[in-house]
Amino acid sequence: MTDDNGTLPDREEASLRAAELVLGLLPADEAERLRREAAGNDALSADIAHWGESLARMAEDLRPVTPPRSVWISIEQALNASPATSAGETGEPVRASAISLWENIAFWRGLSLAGFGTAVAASIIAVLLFWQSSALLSHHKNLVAALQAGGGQAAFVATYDPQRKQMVIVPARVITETDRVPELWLVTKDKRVVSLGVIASKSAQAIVIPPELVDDTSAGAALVITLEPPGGAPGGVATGPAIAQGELSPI
Amino acid sequence: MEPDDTQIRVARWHSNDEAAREHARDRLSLLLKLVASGDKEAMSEVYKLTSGRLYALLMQMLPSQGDADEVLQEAYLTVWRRAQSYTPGQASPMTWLITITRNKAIDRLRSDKNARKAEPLDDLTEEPVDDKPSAFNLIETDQEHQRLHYCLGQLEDRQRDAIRTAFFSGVTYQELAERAAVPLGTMKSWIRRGLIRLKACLET
Repeated sequence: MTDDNGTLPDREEASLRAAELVLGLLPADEAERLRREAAGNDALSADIAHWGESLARMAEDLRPVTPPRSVWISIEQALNASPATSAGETGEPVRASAISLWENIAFWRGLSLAGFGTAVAASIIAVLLFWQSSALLSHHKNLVAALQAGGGQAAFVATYDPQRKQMVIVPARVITETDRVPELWLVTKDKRVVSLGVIASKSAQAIVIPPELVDDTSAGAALVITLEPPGGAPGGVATGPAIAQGELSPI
Repeated sequence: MEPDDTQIRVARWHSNDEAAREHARDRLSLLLKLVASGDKEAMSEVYKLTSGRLYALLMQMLPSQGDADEVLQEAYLTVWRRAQSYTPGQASPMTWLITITRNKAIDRLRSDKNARKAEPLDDLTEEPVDDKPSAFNLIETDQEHQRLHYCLGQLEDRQRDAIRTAFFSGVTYQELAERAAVPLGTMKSWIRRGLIRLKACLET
């Protein structure tokens, strides 16, 4: 590395330009050119990501300042003005096709929800506690899925520990449905739908994934919950409405 | 020899700290996943946990509180729209949020050249430092953060000041040079040499 005069090696020069871009030192046209270049240059885009990660930590030195309440109110209004699914517009194809499997089934039939706020917070904490304790024992990446109902809010949160082949699923809301029970389905990447069994509607439940489904329980597969007669869907075919769905992805 | 009680307690404290940091980071990652699927409650939670830090950054970068308010709103609406592009393995959730916020602020600065905060270089070298970390602040007060501080400390004063000012003001080389009243080439060389040393230190 030459520090004072002379020419820098190309790699060194590229890394410096990445840092300059991250800091915002370059004039707009030059920054734009570099961004375009990075799109087709993995080493350069890795440099940009790397500097971004390092330098952003400087912002952590600042003492937090509470913004005026009006800022959140404006944000909330903008969120409410957009349809609940707006954030899913660019959804991955797998999620889209999982939805299409169920799109003819009525959502929300016979379902009522209560106590959402505290329940979802409790379940997130429960899932994270589970995840943390298992992560200590595991070198494998855990997977997580937030299973949403029609309104775009989480109805169940699932985590899967590939090491222990165990999935924990926690209801985020209270489902008061008396004559039917929730059943969990795995929609594999090649669109097979396999039952993982009936699950508890009011408490966390651990499910051991059968050996033949371990390979299919991977990032990109989807989980769907339907309401079925007590004992589960007759003949292993879903009959009731899908009440929540979500895609497994690495945390 | 058995470790004395103090040592044991210190060790426990550190491991709790580590767990708390990891927990806070994972919690934010999971919340961003929920935001990606359109969960407004999760969005509200992300805002509660992170807006104080992002707002502090914008107050540093932008000329007026009005600008900071507007850009903070723009930044969170971008988070709402782009949460699906956040990949936990690639960046920490807080870094991702900071990057979005800084880029929005830089856009604002570039589009509104006359309204810049014209502060001399020296005024920006001492940032207010958060000396009372709350549970959530632990998120980024990790080893990498300490490493960055250590490595910045290894630079010459003018190199470090120039890099920090660049980060907290978001202005170009040209304007940094004007503010510090040095030739453009001098400012470039301070920053570039500082970055080279910083990189070498961070990589060791």
